[in-house]
Amino acid sequence: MRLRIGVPQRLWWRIWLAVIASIAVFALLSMTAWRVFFDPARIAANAEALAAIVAAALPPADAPAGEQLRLLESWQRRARADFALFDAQRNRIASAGRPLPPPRAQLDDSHWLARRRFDPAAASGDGKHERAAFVPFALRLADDRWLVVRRDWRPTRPPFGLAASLTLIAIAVGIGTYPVVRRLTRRLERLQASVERLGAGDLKARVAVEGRDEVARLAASFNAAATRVESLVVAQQSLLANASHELRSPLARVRMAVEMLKQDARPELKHELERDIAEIDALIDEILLASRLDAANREPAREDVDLTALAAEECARVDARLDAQRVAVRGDARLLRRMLRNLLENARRHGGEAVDVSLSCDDESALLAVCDRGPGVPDSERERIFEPFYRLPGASEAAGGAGLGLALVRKIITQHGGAVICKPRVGGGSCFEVVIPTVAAPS
Amino acid sequence: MSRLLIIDDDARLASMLRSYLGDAGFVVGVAGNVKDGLAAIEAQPPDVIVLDLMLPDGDGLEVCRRLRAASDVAAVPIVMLTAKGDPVDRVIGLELGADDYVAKPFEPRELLARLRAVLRRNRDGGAARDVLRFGRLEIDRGARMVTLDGALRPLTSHQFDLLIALAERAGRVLSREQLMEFAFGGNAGFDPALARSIDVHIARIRAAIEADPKKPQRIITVRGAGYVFAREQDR
Repeated sequence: MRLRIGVPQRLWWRIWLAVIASIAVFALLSMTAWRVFFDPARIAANAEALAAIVAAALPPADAPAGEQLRLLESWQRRARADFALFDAQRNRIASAGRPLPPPRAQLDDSHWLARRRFDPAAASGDGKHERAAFVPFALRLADDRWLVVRRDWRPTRPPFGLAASLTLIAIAVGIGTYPVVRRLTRRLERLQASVERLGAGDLKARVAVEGRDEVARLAASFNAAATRVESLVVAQQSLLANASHELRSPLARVRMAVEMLKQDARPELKHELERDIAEIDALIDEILLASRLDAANREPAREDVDLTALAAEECARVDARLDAQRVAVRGDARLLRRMLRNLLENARRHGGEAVDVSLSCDDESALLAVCDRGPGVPDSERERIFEPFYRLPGASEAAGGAGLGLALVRKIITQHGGAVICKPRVGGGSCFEVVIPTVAAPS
Repeated sequence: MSRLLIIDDDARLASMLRSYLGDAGFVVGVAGNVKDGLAAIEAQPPDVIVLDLMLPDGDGLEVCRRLRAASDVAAVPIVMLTAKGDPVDRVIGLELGADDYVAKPFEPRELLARLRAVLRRNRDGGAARDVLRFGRLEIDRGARMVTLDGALRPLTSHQFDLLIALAERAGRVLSREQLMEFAFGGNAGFDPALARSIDVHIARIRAAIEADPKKPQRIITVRGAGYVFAREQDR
């Protein structure tokens, strides 16, 4: 990725820049505040006043130099200033603190020993102006001695406390980076919503690509992946639809040919062929339906279904015993019929003739049980029988049933918000218990 | 002898159909695509058309639409051959004026029965009739007649009313009280004798329309709840 100078495109670069910029802005503001609150004139006035006070307290000129020195030293400690005492000939009498220059020879009045006023040109941010404010002041005493005073220019404490400074920096960084971070997370949220929609089966989910940074590239990658998934699913569905159509054409011919077999053909063979054709046909049907349910990018139909009537109809087809209450659910009648038919087919195939179906309901759910007297299902296989094309160990191919029947049952029931389990039946056999909520989830 | 035109690109199936339906007394013509089919219809309008849904140069629905729009052949009955399990196509096929459909792979005897049924219906005046159809069973509400495979099944007036009440609510469980109400209405007043006789009447209807009245497939008893008329029959 090209990095263009001036307009940062990379995300890390933008975040990093936002942090640096906010700290810089904070530093600039603090410096300005320091300058606003720091008044050189006031400090200069302090120096003049301090000089006058100390001068008044000084012992007379004929007092011993030691006495004068002691006084200067005591004031130096108290006032945090440097002092030096000179005689009329600018000879040093005593000094306290760091050394100070003598008063200027050509000047007879009290004067500053350097430029006193704050000069912006001289101050370039390195603290020169503070030093400029603390230039020495030479006071001419009545007895022609000179007292030179300089306030200590070193700051006694930072402008704000450490905790306050850190807090202020944190606030500054927080405010400075907020727009960048918020914009980033908003885009990530939109991306996440799209990923969730795709995951939920909306294959048309795409996200807008904004900008040229990492998130934009992620969005573009997501879109490309989603497009690919969509085209794969569409291709798979059309492949299955075409395959089922193409398979049915030869099947229709076989069915036709069987019908046209001359009367001398063995009727049981003809019957066997008819059954095989019906089985292949049903399998094609189930594969097609399974792929449609897998795609699940359509809301299933939600209509009022008289489950009792449906069960009665399907039980009559296979001559199963039905013990039913009146139960209605909301769902797809075609799919629910398929679910019932597959359960009954399974029970009859593995459980022989005695199939008992019971249908009841409580406040929330319809409860369906399809029970057979077959060999039963071992504990370890109770979940696996719902896998597509799964066959119980030891079951022969001729027994049939290695299809999608139970896998479809589970898919259909899951789509209706319910659950199905296989349980052993008291006295031998299995029971398939189905729970389907009767109260439709608010949509 | 009825003239039949098969429009299907599966030449081998068409040739078997020609032989099978020829044996059944049809004069069969075959066209392999939309163009040939329309040309054959124009040359000599058939009495009935068997139309495949997917053709190499167009689809059967389009042919259906065009035939229904043409005044001289608009009344020719059409039986569509569809792929199984596509309800949308079924609805569209019937809405566009196909008279019936069979799903591949079909039972040849079923196709034959349906061809005969649409021809008979066409002769009798077709769409003007008020008919409920469930597989091979036809209930003519206007003429108050029930036929199974085209053969008349005699029912008494009460039995016919009961059957209509059930058939109009196919796929719903109806209690005996509901059945009374729907079949005979409130104006007849409650007749306890009639209520008791419901089960007898149902048994008579079953004897008339079920293949095996002991194992009914059309009118099914739901113990403790009532009766339900099967929505899917002969499928």
